[in-house]
Amino acid sequence: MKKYLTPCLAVIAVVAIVLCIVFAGQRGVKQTDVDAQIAKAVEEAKTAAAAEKDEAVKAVTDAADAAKAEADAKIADLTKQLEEAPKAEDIQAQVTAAAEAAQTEVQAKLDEAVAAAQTELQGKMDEAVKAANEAAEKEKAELTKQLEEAQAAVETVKAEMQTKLDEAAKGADEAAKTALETAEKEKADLQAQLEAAVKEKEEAVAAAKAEAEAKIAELTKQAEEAAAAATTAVTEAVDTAKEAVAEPAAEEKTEEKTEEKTEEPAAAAPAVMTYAEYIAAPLDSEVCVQTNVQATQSWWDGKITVYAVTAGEGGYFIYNMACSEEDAAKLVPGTTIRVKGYKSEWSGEVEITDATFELVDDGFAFTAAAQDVTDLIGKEELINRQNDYVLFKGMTVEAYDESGAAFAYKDAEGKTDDLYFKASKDGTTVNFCVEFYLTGKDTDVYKAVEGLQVGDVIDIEGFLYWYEGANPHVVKVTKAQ
Amino acid sequence: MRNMRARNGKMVLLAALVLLAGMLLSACHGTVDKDAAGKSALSTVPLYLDETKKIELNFWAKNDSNKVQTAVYTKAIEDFEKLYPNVKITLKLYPDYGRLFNDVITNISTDTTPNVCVTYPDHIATYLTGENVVLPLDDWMADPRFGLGGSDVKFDGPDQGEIVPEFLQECVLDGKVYALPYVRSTEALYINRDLVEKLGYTVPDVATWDFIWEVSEKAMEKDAEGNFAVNGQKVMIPFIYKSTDNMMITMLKQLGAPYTTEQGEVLLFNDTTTGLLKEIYTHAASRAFSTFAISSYPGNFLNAGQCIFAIDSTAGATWMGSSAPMQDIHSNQLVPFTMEVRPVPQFDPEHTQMISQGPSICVFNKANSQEVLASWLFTQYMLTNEVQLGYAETEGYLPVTTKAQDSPEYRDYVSRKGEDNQDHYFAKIEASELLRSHTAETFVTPVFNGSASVRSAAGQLIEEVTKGARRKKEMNDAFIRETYGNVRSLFRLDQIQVKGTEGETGGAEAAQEEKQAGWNALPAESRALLIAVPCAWILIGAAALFRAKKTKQKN
Repeated sequence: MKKYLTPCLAVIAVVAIVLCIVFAGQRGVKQTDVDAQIAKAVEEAKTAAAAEKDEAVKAVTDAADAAKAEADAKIADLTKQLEEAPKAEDIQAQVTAAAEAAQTEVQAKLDEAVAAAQTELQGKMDEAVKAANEAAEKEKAELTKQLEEAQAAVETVKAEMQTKLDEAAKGADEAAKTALETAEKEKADLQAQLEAAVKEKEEAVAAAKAEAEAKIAELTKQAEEAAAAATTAVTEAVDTAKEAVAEPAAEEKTEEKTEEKTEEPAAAAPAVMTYAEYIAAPLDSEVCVQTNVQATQSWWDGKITVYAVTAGEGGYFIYNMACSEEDAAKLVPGTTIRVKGYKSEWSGEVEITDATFELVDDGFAFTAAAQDVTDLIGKEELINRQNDYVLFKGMTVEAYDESGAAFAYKDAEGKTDDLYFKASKDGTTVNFCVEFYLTGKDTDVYKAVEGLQVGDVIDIEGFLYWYEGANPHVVKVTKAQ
Repeated sequence: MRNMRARNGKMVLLAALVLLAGMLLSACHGTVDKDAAGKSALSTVPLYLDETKKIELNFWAKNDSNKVQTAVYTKAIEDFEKLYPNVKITLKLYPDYGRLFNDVITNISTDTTPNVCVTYPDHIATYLTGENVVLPLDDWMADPRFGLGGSDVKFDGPDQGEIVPEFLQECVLDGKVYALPYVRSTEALYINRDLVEKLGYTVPDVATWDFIWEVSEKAMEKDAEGNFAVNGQKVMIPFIYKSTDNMMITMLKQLGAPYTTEQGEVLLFNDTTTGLLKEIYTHAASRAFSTFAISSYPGNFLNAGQCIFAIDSTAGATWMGSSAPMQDIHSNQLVPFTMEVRPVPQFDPEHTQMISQGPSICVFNKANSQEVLASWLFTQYMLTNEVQLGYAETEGYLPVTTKAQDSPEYRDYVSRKGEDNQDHYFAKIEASELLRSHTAETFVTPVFNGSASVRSAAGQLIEEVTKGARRKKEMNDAFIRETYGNVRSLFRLDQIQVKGTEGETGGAEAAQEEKQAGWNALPAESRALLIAVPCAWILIGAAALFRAKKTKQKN
């Protein structure tokens, strides 16, 4: 159909244009008859118009004459009135004389009144000043007396308060001591439980290891037996072949035996390290850790960045770990993973790079509680908690820059990037970041930071990332308790 | 009465025919039809901009950490909208060009690309794999009404002769201009002169690669306490290169070694590359050399007195130096020093070669030519002096027009170098002047579909070798082979299609196809009119002849 569209439209256009021309032609044929009629009608119209014109002119002229006569009469009347009225100059003189007389009289009265008022006012002012002075002296004396009495009362109260404070402090010390003892005891209990749990785990691991070793030994033995059997079979076959084949065949046998017996051992995988071993490992060394996912940045282009914490040990930042999109969905908080990569450092942030991972199905799920590191702000020890899931309590929001704003967008227009804010404790400021790929603009923390005001006192939870200093990636902001 | 009715009927019919003819004639105003495949044909320049119709445009750009640069975009939009009140522009900023590129690619298939986009020629080459996606600008630039310096353009934009030709040439792909340059920069070598002299050397006008390596290795010496002797600190990375892509490409260019061809052949994996990688490995192993990806921003180390040679873009000059207006490290980490700005290291200092880089602006083709015209006008507006100077002066960028570069405002700005450590920070101005004085010595790399991947691959080679050295992997042919294989695979370089190897027809056949494509590209109404009008004139002529003959016979 489309290929006929053009010719159809062309035909219609031609027809349209031709018809236009035809219509124009037809009008031309009848033009002369119409012209005669038009001429006649025009003549008639002209005559009628002329008559109407004459009538209108007459009416206008009559009206003008009447108006003129009326105006002339009014003018004559006004002229007469004017002649009878007194001259303006005489009136002017009379008014001026009267005004001057009145002015003189008024001025005299005014001067008199002012003098009288001044005398009266002065007298009253003198009396008022005298009375005020007397009253002020009296009040001063009273206030001085009251002040002395109040000071004495304050001293009394102060002494009483000090006594009470001393008593309260003594009581608090005792309560704190008791609480500390209780806490120490609980800690010891927990430690014992943890050690027991660790021991149990170690025993389980040892048992599993022993079992695995036994299995490996068995399999090795089976493999050796199979290899020995195969060797025997080959030897027999070789002996048989020896009878039929010359020297080169014997060399071939020897090579086969050598190949069968020696196999290159597979490259050993790095052993899983403890957190302490990881920390002690030199930069750029290969590492392997088993840990639990706490959060991830958004997956992109076959990579994902992971925040991980191992229970009772510490945190890891695993940068751009190789990961399929399908596997990325499995990296939910608590998931156990075994990660292999290289220990690296970037702008002070110690991280695992070029990492691969495997999911550990039988690992126990662990999600960390935020560890309070408020007391470490400004201290060197803070770096030891790098990448851990931490809590900063009672932080005061500071102005981010000279604009005085409580926070800054990296991209204010599209909100497609990080937020930055600063908060301090006891005069030491920490730079915080809402990492967009971790917590985007629709998350509670992003909105909470957008709502911050300078001076707000807040609690902050996040992962203790490092960029030229502490720069936590924040996941939760709440008003301080 | 009967005559009146007949007359009215004829008038109605006449009006209908006139309307029909008008509809047919409407094909002249540049609307774009779909071609046989259902895709929008390329828009042509309309005769006028209809300022009574509302037009909404989407403008995508990259967000720089410098807030003033973002403000330049928003101001440009505001000012443009004042000139053209019927146009409303929505700005969308991306944190990096990679994500912007990915989004554009994703939106091509759904025909939801932006109208105007700040991008790189490498990326445009990939966009062009979609049919009629990016607007070729040659005709638009040359249009007398709306082209560069056109009579109907409401602002004082540059004409074509006022765009620096080297910068415009970077936007030419397959012989057509597909973008206008926006701003340009190059790379600079930022040097801690104090440390160089402390090591017993003098900063040359043009440093060689040998000089850089030699001084860097010397800086690795330690004192008895285990601190680096040159700065007394525990940390010293003498030489850090920000963009390893540029590092490899520049070294190969300076040595006249192959990298890629215009057709897309990847020649990166050659003996010269291997030799360079082995040299780099040596200095990475001693820790005299590192990269941004491995260690951090060169400027952070430079400003802390922990780096001697930092190579970064001239656009990053406001971050370089202990008195730089932008700092990413705490003030108590700064170590004051005297900084020199030089061209990047050279193999032959007599024949300086440096890369030219920087974003350009492209226009995406749309079905509505009015929308495309508005997009084109906004693109031109980004080249006005106000926008160019506003953006360039925020960093060490160079305006892309001689109109802006030679303007009194820009010359005044340059003359005030060093007047303060903010707007007139000496390094920022020196860095941009570096490009201005070496424009003729800049180079760009061939652009084709996949050229961005090859660029990334070039940089990755250096990253792999540097990491390998730090991780004590042995440098040998096997390592090089493995690295080459991994990088080829990672960036899918074997999937890059070389031009001229498939699907191209040549000579007369191509010309015939082109002709046929030209007629088919016209709207149906236009084709109908082009047939109808000559036919009508033929009929008119025939009718006139017939009437004349009849009159003659009557007489």
